[in-house]
Parts: sequence; C-alpha cells; structure tokens
Amino acid sequence: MREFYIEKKASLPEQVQAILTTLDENGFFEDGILVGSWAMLFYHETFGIEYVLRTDDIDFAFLPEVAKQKKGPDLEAALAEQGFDPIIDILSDLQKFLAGTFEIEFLVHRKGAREEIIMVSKYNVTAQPLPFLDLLFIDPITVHHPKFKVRLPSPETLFMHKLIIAQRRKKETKKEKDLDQCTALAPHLDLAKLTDIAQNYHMSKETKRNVLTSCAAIDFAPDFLCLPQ
Amino acid sequence: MAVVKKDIVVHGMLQDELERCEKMAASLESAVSEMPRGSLHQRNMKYKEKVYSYHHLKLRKGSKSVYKHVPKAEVAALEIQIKARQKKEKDLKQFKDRIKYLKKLL
Repeated sequence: MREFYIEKKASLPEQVQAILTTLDENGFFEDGILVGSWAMLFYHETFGIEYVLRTDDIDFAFLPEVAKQKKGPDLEAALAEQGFDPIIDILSDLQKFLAGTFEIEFLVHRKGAREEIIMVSKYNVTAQPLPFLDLLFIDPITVHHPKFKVRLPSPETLFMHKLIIAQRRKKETKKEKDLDQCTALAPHLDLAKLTDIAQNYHMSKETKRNVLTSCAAIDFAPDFLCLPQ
Repeated sequence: MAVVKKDIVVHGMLQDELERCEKMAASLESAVSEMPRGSLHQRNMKYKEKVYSYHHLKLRKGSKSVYKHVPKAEVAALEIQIKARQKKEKDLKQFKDRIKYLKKLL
C-alpha cells in the first residue's frame, strides 16, 4: 500500500479535519475509504493534481464485506459526541451526519440490483449501496496528516470508476463533473497500474463500452483496456 | 450571474449543492417538527419563608404565549430535546442562508 505524508494545510476546513480525526480514531479506515470529490483534495497534496470543485457532502465507502461483520466501534455515538448530529434524509431514509453545512454519508458496494439502505452493524451506521464501489478498494493509498490518517482510492481506480459511472449518470451535469475530474486525473496516472486494474477488474461488455465512451469524451487513448483490435 | 451558466461543470456543481441544501433543509424541518417546541423556564416562588422553584415550558400558539407546567422528573429529558432542536434550527438557518445565496448565483 502506498503511503504519503502531508503537512497541516489551511485548505482543509477544521470541521473536515474533525470528521476525519473521529473516523480515524474509531478505526473506520481499516474498513473504509474516503471517496468522491474530497479525495481530490488529498491528491492535490500528494500528486499535485489540481481540482478545486466540491460540494459540502463528504462520502465514505465501506468494504463490501463489512456489512456482515460483528459489532465494533459505535461510529454514530462517536460522531454525535463530536457534535455531528445524525439526521435522517426524508427522501432516502438514509442516516447522515451534519457538521454545519458539511454532510457525512456512508456508502457500500452494491452487488446486483437491490437498492435498500444497509445497516452496517459493526459501526452502527447505515449505508447506501452503490455499484462499482469495490473497484475503489483495489490498492488504496494512505495519507498521513499530523492529526489523522486517511485511506482513499488510488488516482487510477478513481479515474476508472469515474469513467464507468459517468455514462450511467441520469443528470448531464453530474456526468460532466465526473469527466472533468477524469481530465484532471489523466496526466498524473500510472498507466501500468491502470492497465493492471483494467485487466483484473471484471467488467461486462456494457461497462467496457461505458469506459470507451468516456475515454472518447475526454480524449484519452483507451490503450490500457487492451481490447482485441 | 451569466458567467456561472457558461461553465457547465461549475454550474452543475452549484446546482448539485443547491439540491443537496434543499434536501437537507427539508430533512431538518421534518426533524424539528417532531421535537418539542418552546423554551424551558424556571420560576421561583416564595411561600411561608420558603422558596420553591418549578419549571414551565413557554410556547406560542398563534399570537398567544402559552405556559405549560413541566414535572420535575421530565425537566432533564426535555432540556436535552430542546437543546437538540435549537441546534437543528441553527443548522437549518445555515442551509436556508446558503439556499438563498445559491439561488441568486444560479
């Protein structure tokens, strides 16, 4: 696993630092990773990847098998103790946590079509199942901040993930944002790693088509897929 | 703010943030509506050289102020719930302010 060390930076809001510290202290990063646009902020510190657009929702993903494991740290209580209020999303029934306008949400890999919210008993929180999250757990990186350590996907897996999900988005703006992040990531990728991921991660024909469509959209040669000519 | 609309990614991100704030404001409003209203007050009364204190809940019903006696055994739990409601109302205000700002931008 690749490890990086960063200095205390003003670009990381105090509330986000507090969230990551609480999760780290409760062992979350043994079983989970930071995903979404906030991972890009750490890529800036570690790989020099520039991407500044992000909303105030911070997503964390659990390893697919964690949902079945026995009870561990009570993350709900730990977050509430730090002032991150639990709140139920009235549309999805998903439990979220609020810190000012920052919103914490947990996700878990979805196998198949079942979309129901999953109770992750080990951490006493609920998580929203989404497809392709297992991809992000391939060779993640760890970033050590003076206050906490955070685990996040490698730029290569995040790039591949965004290529896939961009074409599955219903909203055009979300698709554009995914592709925009891919464009920012592309020049910094380890192409051998990317090929390795593409060769070992099972993708259906439709998923490969989605990757090719996204590659064409950002003008990125899809050689890493090693598709038969 | 036509400048924002010209960039589909920036515009989309702001639109996402607006939708997220609206959803969260609705969730907070729903949570607040299920929590006890009003504020908790303590009153001291002197009777035959002794001072007695009791708690009451002060709340609005239309244009009137209504006072409800709160039994001593229920004070601690009610105080926690009222503080939790006030925190949620504070969060709600932050989201409403951001919604107002984002709507101006978009």
